[in-house]
Amino acid sequence: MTQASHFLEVKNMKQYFPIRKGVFKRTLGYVRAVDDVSFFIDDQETLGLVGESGCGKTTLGRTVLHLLKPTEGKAFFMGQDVETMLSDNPRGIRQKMQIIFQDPYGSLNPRMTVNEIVGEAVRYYGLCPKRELDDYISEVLSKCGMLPEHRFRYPHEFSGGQRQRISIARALALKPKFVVCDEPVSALDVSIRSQILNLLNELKEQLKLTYLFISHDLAVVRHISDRVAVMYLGKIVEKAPKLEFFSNPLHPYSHALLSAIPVPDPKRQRQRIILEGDVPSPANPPSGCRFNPRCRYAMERCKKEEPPLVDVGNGHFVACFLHSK
Amino acid sequence: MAKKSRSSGLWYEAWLRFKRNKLALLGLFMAASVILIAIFAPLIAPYDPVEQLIWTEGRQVRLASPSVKHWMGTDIYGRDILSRIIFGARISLQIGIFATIVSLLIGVPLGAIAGYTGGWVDDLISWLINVVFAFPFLLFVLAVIAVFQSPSLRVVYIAIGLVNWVGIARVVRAQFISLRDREFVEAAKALGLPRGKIIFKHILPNALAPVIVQATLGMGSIIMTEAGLAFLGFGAQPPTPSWGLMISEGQKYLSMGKWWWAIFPGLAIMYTVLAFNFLGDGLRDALDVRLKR
Repeated sequence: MTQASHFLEVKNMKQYFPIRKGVFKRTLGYVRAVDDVSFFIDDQETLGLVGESGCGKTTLGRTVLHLLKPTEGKAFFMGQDVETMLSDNPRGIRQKMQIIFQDPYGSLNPRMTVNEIVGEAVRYYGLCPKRELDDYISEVLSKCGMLPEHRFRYPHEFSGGQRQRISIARALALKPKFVVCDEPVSALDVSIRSQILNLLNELKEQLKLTYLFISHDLAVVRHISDRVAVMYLGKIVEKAPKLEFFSNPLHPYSHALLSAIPVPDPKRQRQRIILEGDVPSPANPPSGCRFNPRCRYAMERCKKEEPPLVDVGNGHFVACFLHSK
Repeated sequence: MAKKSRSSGLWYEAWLRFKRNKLALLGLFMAASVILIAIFAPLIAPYDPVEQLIWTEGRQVRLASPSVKHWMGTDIYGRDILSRIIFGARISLQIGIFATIVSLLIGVPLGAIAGYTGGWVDDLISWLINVVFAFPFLLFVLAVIAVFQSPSLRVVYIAIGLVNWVGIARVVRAQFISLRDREFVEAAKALGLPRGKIIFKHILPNALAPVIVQATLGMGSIIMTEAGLAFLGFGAQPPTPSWGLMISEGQKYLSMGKWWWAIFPGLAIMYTVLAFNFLGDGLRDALDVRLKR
């Protein structure tokens, strides 16, 4: 296999959730939250994963970390299968791959002090000698823009932005190499957002991190990513290097997403593409191209065949019949 | 372990809320008074609760009405009712506390397993809970006592505990179900922490508040149940100074105008049950399960 060439590689990952009903819990069908997704991330690169709510991007993030066992498919971390690493040496792999959650109010245990929250796993892994633990925690906290004296407070005494900093400190205290950022700024005020984004960028430089950055906000993704992947109903429909994506988006869904970015100039008239209808249910996705019921360019073929993700050059991949023969 | 400089845990904040609630403070005061009376019963009680005073004071102390010497009167055997009520607090609290401990010992682990694991384990435990719930409470306790055959205090609290755990288990199960999918639990999993740590450090402390409320409110109903059992003759046996037993013995004399034998233990039960209900309600308001999302 050639997976050794990439820092993280995800191959044909699927995450199906069974729908069970009735006394006997018969399986009536599956919600295909993630359906046959492949991608890779190189060392110290940030891949921005965008898509609207319910498209499976959060599930994908968790499945990559194997917090949810994938229905099918594999993730390779530095050339090694995550699943086998988890069964051989769970501590090693968990320490190297961390996650930052969306909701800073839900992701911190309300009954633990910041010291315990950040220090618990450090102690468990024995990452630093007991005597130096306090200093280490203070150091990580100040790296994340918190004061050492915050250590003895509880999460509810902090604002959303501060909590997100604690959340980041908890993840980074383990000295991970790869971090899944699951909409880390979506729950925050706009004024705090840029602070947290800049913090994530700085930490990435300093600690040589690699991010999978999940967001529904293209403006945020544009700020932080090196490459962008667009997800729709459990599938990746387009992926490309950042500049290429923003200057030359190909998929009709990407067009619609990009037209939704607000422009801070009221005089500029833009054509907005309003998508009609709702996202179809991932339990019963439309046949052919999953975007076809909402697509402006939908052709007869789109309803029957599923477009493959094809290379159109410059590292740009798109799954649309408009761009492949 | 850590110095708590100017920090305020959720428990401390709950106490601040509790302090503002007058009814809750009254409940705390009442419950504390019952507990203190039970602890210091030998020092407070003017007489021995089982001593028949006819031998020392003569036949006139049989069913004597309340007087300066006997504040709550005496019963037909010439025992001082006030002293019996004071010692009766020991019986009621003992049953209340031990039955609650038994309920917690069964209910917390079963509820936790059901809620955390889910699947068929949850189905099985939930089925068991529903079966026990479906029976009338007192009838089930009577059935359990019947199995043990000889009614003693220990049998009573074990029997009550064996029935009362279902309420606790339900609360714990519901808490675990809602907490196991919370992001901070997922974060603990992502950190690679072992399951024991996740359950005992991350989930259980957050599930505790409603369990405490349930257990406190349960105290009231357990004390009532004990009194009911004693009244029916299935609980404490004479000459134990159990409040329920006293009502049972005294009620025959109510119609003769000898009200003090049955009324005073009745008031004692009311006071104690009210105490724990006020306290439980106060705790519920103070601990309020919204975990500040």
